[in-house]
Amino acid sequence: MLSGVGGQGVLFATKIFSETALALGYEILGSETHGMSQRGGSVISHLKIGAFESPLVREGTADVLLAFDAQEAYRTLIFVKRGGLSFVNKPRGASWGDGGVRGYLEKNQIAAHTYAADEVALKVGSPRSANLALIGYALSVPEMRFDYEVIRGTIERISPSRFKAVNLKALDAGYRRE
Amino acid sequence: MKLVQVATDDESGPVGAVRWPVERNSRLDETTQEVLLGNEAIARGIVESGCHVVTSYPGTPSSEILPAVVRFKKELGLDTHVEWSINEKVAYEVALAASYTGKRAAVIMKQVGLNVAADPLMSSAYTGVKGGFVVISCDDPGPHSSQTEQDTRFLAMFAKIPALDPSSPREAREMVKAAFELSERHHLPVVLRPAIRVSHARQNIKFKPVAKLDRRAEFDKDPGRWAATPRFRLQLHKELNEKLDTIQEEFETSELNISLTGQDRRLGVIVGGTSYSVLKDTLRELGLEGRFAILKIGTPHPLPQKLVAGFITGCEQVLVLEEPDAAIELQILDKSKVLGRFNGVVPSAGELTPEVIHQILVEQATRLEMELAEEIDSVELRRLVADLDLPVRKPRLCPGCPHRAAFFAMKRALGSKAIYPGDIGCYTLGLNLEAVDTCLDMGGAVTIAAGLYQAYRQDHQDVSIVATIGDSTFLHSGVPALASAVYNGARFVLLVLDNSTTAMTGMQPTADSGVLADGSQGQRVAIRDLIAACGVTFIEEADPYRVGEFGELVKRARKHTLDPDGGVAVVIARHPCVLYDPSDLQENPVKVVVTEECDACGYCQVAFECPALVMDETIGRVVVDSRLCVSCGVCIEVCPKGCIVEAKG
Repeated sequence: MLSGVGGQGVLFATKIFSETALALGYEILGSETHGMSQRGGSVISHLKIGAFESPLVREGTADVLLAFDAQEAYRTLIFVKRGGLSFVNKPRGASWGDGGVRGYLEKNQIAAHTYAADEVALKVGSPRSANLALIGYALSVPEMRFDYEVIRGTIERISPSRFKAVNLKALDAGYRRE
Repeated sequence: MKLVQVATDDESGPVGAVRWPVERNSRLDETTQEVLLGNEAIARGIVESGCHVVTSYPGTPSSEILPAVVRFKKELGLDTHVEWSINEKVAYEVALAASYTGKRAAVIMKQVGLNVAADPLMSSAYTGVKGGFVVISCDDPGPHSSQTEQDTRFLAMFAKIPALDPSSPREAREMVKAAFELSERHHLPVVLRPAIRVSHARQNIKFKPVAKLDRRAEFDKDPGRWAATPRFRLQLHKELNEKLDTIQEEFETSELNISLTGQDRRLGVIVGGTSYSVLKDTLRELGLEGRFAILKIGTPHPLPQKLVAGFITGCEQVLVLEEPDAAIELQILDKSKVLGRFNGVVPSAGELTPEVIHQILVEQATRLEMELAEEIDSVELRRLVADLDLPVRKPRLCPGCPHRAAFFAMKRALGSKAIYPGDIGCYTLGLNLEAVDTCLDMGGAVTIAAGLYQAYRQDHQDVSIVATIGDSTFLHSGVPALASAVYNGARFVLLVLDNSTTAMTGMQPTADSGVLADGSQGQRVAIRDLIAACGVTFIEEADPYRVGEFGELVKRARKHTLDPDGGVAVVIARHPCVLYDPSDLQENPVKVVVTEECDACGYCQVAFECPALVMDETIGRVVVDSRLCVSCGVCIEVCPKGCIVEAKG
């Protein structure tokens, strides 16, 4: 599951993973938000890799959540399965997983990784590449079963030429956990 | 290649190691394939079928089909005629005529668009067609981006024509081909009904070769068919009934329907469309794979009655899952074993999401005392998250949107007592600014304004009425509405919000721009000329970014509606959509800041509602979010206390 708000590149992030999986020979199914719901609202993207039939991930069954917005992360956490992984973009120093939510995560063995992707993207000079920084961070976590080099190759291949350099820079910064 | 290696991986991770569903992965071969949107897969099916003429009017969730046809046409150097027609009725009839000549034709729209094309739909069922004619109408259970949850399959039943219902992008591509063949075998229009989760799903799809059909246009004069009078229509109706009987017989053994056996006779499932895909995944997740017999109906109309009755005989009870309505369930003759919408087992409104289907299955499995795979209990999380009081992110007009400027100026000029009929498009979001009081259907702003005027006039009451309609919507069905209003002496102000494009559905060109579906330049049809031809004598154009002048113009327009010699007054608000054409903002950016004098009165938040103007509670005033601001500078005129100013330097 990938979630955020309009303009954060949720759909591009989805494309990075779907194109990677396709190149590795997997079946892809996904679903995304269009139309009225695209004007500044929440953006939720479902991606299923493997032999599935429905493009929608049901609540409580997602292996991984990449949340590019901390508030949307709360809303979409419900998709993560017991023992799943979640990555949340939040400002450095800010808290996430308040009160009962932390207890829920522990009880259900959901690993919640938080990372200040916005700040890192700003630091490498491309505020709009926070999505790449969070992906980079996620790839540095051993449980995230995607290979950094392979994902990097996909980003090189599918980024529009004028964004390629900054996208890779943000990815690398995230991967190094800057 | 980590992803490939984890099938036998350990669970040594700190908290919750992920187990990908790798054991179920099937490796694909090396054929050319792409991850396509369902709508692009449908376009691929149209092109691979050798279709000659493709017409459409944009509308979510159907809008991406025609542009994808254009893409494949260009890549393959095909001579396909593609067009954005002015509305769905026109699109339907243009494609239909191509079919009269023996060519293959497809018309594409969203489900409510088929209401607009219902007239030719009904009639062409009687006359029949010659070349394959496929009507693609995309449903929107939810609804996500529509005014109704109506079911296209009911319109196919109403018109007495066959309907096919795909469950995935891949199947949709194949069903397009089946639809063309069916249409040519029986000389009938055939409806393909993809729901939004097909249209907007993504799936990897292998390209197949394109059929080359050598067909020259040949219209055989046959007035008893193509110009049939009521006497001939009775004969055509009988013919139609015979065709339907033959098709129903054909569907009894069609490969478009799939029957899967189950171990437990106590429950079977009859399922159509995207619900089939959700059902399959959910059963597997619950550990119930193979437990129930499943009959997947790809041909919901006419329903293969013998196939369905035979299936029901083999089960003690049968659950029917379909959306958005009960088209299959309604046609089942003996409902004594059926669990569905009519007895409340399946909800009668809303999308059948995985969560909804999961709940239905859990209830049934519990009733049958079956053991289910253990799953996470998220009830608690739902409560915890609700307690967090997260801000609701409702859809809003974009920063810099010219509609916002027009709405603000309009409201400031005429106040809250005026009635503001609105229409269908991005500008429906004028609701947030209390600048849209009604939203009925395409063109409804103009007709509702006319009707409101007549109702008040009867009581000798004066009321200020300002209708707003977008450029594409005005061309779609605003023109006859305006002509009728002028003819019948209605008086109101009409604001045509001309942003040069059909923005909401993804920037399709309008007839006013003259740009054609393939991007080439065609003949322009000027909105202003059409308004003049409707008999309107007050027509003014202005840029709504100049809020003050624009407001004055709206006041003058209102005066014209009160003038003894006046009538309908039209103001064309002309400024391009900032997403479509940001060149003006790039050339003349107006950077703004909020001064320290801002007293957080909140006026700009309510009356202007720009996402880039944010109330910062910590410092107690409004600030400009530079990530969102597009430097249109319009808000400078908005603050009544002059606290929004141009930034120096």
